[in-house]
Parts: sequence; C-alpha cells; structure tokens
Amino acid sequence: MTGALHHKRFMRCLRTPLGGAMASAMQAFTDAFSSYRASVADYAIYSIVMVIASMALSFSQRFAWAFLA
Amino acid sequence: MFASGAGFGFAAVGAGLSLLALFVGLLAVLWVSSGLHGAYLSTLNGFISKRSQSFGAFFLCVPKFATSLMIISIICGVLVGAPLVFVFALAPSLGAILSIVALLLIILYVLAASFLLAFAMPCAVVDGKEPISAIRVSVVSCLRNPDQVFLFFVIAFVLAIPGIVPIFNLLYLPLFYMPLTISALLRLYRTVH
Repeated sequence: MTGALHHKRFMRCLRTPLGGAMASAMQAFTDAFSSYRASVADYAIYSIVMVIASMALSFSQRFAWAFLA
Repeated sequence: MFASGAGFGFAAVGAGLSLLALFVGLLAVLWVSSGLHGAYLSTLNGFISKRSQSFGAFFLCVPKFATSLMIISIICGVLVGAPLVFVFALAPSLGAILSIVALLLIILYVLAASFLLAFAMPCAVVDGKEPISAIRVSVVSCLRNPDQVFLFFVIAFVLAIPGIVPIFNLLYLPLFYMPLTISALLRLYRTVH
C-alpha cells in the first residue's frame, strides 16, 4: 500500500465535523513540512537572514534609546 | 530673566527635536522590520508553491511590503495593546476583585483579537491587499473557520514545547519552528480563503 493511499484513508477518517477542521489544519502543517523538507537549506538561509536582520534592527533601536537617554 | 528664558527655550527645542528624531528613527526601524517580515513571508509563500528565490529578489521585496505591513502592525498593536494599557492604568483604582475581573476580561479580549488578526499579514503578502482590507479579510476568514484557526494555534503551541530546552532552542526556533509555523499559516490562509 502506498503512502498516498494511507494519507487518503487517513483524511477520509477525519471527515467528521471536527475532523474536517483537523484535516485542514493538519494538511497545512503537512504541506508546510513537505515543502520545508524539500528545500531545507533555503528555509534555513532565509530564516538566518531574517533573525540576524531583526537582531541588528533591535540593537540599533536600543543604541538610539541609550544615546538619547 | 531673558537669558534664563532663552535657555529654557533652547532646552525645550532640543528635547523636542530629540524626541522627533527618536520617533522618526523608531518609524524607520519599524518600516524596515515590517519590510523584512513581508519579504520573509513572500519567500516562504514562494517555497510552498515550489518557486525559488534569489537574495536580490528577497531584498527587493522589502520596500514592496514595508508600508502596508507597518500600517497593519500599528493598527493591530493599537487594537490589541490600547485596551490592555487602559485596563492596567485603571486597575489600581478598581479594587481587588474588579481589577482581577477586568484583567481576565482584557486577557480574553487580547486572545480573541490576536486570533482574529492571525491572517492579516498573510493576506497582505499573498493577495497584496491594502492594510484595512487585509484586516477585514482576516477577521472574516477567522470567523468563518474558527475551528481550523484554533487547531492551527494548538498544533503551533505543541510544536513550540521543545523550544523551552536551553541551547537547543537556539537552533530549533529559528531554523525549524519559525519557518514551519509561518509556512503552515500561509498554507492555511490559502486553503480557507
């Protein structure tokens, strides 16, 4: 039995009033994880760029506050 | 008399100019930060659609999204933060029981407001909507699919638990948790909208 068939059966099991919601929210995480796994290096690079840039901005803001105080 | 008055005037003008410079600086930092956030969301949205992104395109996205995301941040900040500050300011004069009730009510309000505004930034980035329109779309989408958004937050919370481990969280949060949850939020927005 293939993984796709497993996935289809799993999603069919979730088609209840709560299951529909669970299917969508879980599907979002499943898709996101598949995409993450496919291009993990790209995700990592841009996340690091984002974190470093945010830290630099935060530091410059603190510096400005300290300078004015 | 004249000399001291003139001194006071110069001091007031200097303080005013310093505050103005600080305000402009804060706005500039918020603008760049919002632009970076928008570029990051746009990049992750491209990855979900199997589109790669160059560094040049990433930084070109910064001015594209900066203004709209900055306005969304300010509006959301005021909507969520202003009542909170108001209640914190009033709490001492309300008495013990009333202040606790007011704090509980305001915490509920903050949670509900954060819940309803979850899709505001994804909407502005994915569909290129104006700030007010993006906030409206976010509220409508969350009200139509509260169970899905709630489950998203539950899963995101569960995934955040390993982030309490010291040292490990320095790698886990920025390299796994942040991109995964933001991608999932974008994906969920594209599903429900």
